[in-house]
Amino acid sequence: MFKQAVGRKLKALLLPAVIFIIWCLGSKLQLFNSYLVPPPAKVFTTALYLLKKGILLRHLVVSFYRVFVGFAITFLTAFLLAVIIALNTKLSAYILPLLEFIRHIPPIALIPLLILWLGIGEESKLMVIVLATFFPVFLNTLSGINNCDPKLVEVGHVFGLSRRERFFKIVLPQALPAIIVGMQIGLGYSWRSLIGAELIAASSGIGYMIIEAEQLSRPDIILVGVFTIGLFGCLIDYLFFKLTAHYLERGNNQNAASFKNKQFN
Amino acid sequence: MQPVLKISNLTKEYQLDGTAFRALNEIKLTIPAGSFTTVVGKSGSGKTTLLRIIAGLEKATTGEINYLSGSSVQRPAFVFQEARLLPWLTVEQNIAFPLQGKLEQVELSQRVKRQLQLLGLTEFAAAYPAQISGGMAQRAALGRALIYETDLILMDEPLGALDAFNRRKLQEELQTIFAANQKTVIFVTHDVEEAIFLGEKVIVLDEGQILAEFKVPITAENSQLFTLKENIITSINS
Ligand SMILES: Nc1ncnc2c1ncn2[C@@H]1O[C@H](COP(=O)(O)OP(=O)(O)O)[C@@H](O)[C@H]1O
Ligand SMILES: [Mg+2]
Repeated sequence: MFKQAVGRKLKALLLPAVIFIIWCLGSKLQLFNSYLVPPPAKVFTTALYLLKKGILLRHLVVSFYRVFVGFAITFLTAFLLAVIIALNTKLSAYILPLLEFIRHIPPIALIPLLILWLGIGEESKLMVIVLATFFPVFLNTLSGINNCDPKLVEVGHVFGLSRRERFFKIVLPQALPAIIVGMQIGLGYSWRSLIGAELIAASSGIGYMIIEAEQLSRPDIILVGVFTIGLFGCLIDYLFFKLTAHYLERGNNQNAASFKNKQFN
Repeated sequence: MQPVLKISNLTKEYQLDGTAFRALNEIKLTIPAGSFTTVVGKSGSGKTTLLRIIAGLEKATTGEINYLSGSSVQRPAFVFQEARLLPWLTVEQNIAFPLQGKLEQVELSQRVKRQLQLLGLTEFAAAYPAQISGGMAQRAALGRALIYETDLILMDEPLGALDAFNRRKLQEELQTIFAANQKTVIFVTHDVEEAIFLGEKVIVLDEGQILAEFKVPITAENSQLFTLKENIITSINS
């Protein structure tokens, strides 16, 4: 077991290590234009500088804050709408086709409109996050509730549970793995879409730091920004996974496994 | 004894390709309080449909089900052929499920403990359904029905999915459990021997109709029980 785990970690690190060595050697032998590919040492000192001055942290905090607020808005609206539609099946014929249309429009394409309507303040950026994360949360919650095993719901009937009790004690716990998977996908989307929004209209945030660096011709800062995005994207995903693993594995829940295979995004 | 349940002229029709199919046909049945009634019949004879209508899981087409006034039954408990435990709850939590939030926590956990002991599930209390055998899962389902405060328990082939050893063992335990308490039981099975072993009265159902009723003598000799079994099988095959 232990050996296997170590082996997996080594395998995961192999390719990054190769890329890093090529980067180091190429820079040393001056194979790359240092304006296009800054040497590792330069990127490292820039990272240290941005950290020491608190610049990186300031941008990170702003970006995190936006993701947090945007995702909270998404979760409330998408979750509630999914519950309402799942419980009132007649409504779905009116609402789902429109949502299906909206789902195919990439939020980035809407940014110019959002800027016109909402300005370049926080609202337009939060809206981009909401648009980008709404569907994974909404669709996975909806399918989790709709795929609830009617045989288990009957158990609720047999023991005299009210409609409300059946929903909270049987339907919702059974849909939980699907809801969590939807949230996990949504969180990943929110991080990526936010950076996109900050590239276009912002005066702070990691995305802004990157676009500003482009204008200053500072590829080293761009690379620090890119690494930060990837690193914290992984970190968010990992933390969320650790927080929810218990619910996904609880009782070896069969639903968890099946939902992993038919997630919506 | 006082009847607890009276079923009169119960008919259930399903629409199949535009024609009405009678799954139950004019069933008349009286269930005395504290009795153990078994229902046998071939598969498709309407056994499950009968129980589901009594439980209120399905509506009768015509006919009536009356609980006798004064009986404390509001809703019967139901044990399905599959255990139908909630996979995200432990054995203990599954047994507590019907009374969760309806009883003080201390009182509830005492009652659950008693059921766990009665059914030999104590060491599995913290296990999840996916971690226990089919026999243990069915015991937990039984505990869940026993803890529910009702005098009437409906069981739909609860031992049908078990192997012969587990089945025999649970049959004996069921007999002891129900000899010791006042519950009224309607027990469906397709196994005639099981029906005789457990029941005080055996009802034979065929094509939605009651073909015959047999009383099981309490102090019967083996030869008598054998004749009874032959009679029931003849009645089913007639
Ligand atoms: N929901 C249903 N729709 C149509 N036919 C049904 C339905 N449920 C049961 N039946 C039919 O009613 C008959 C009795 O079924 P059931 O009560 O399940 O029998 P048993 O439990 O004795 O095997 C069968 O012929 C079955 O096909
Ligand atoms: Mg059946």
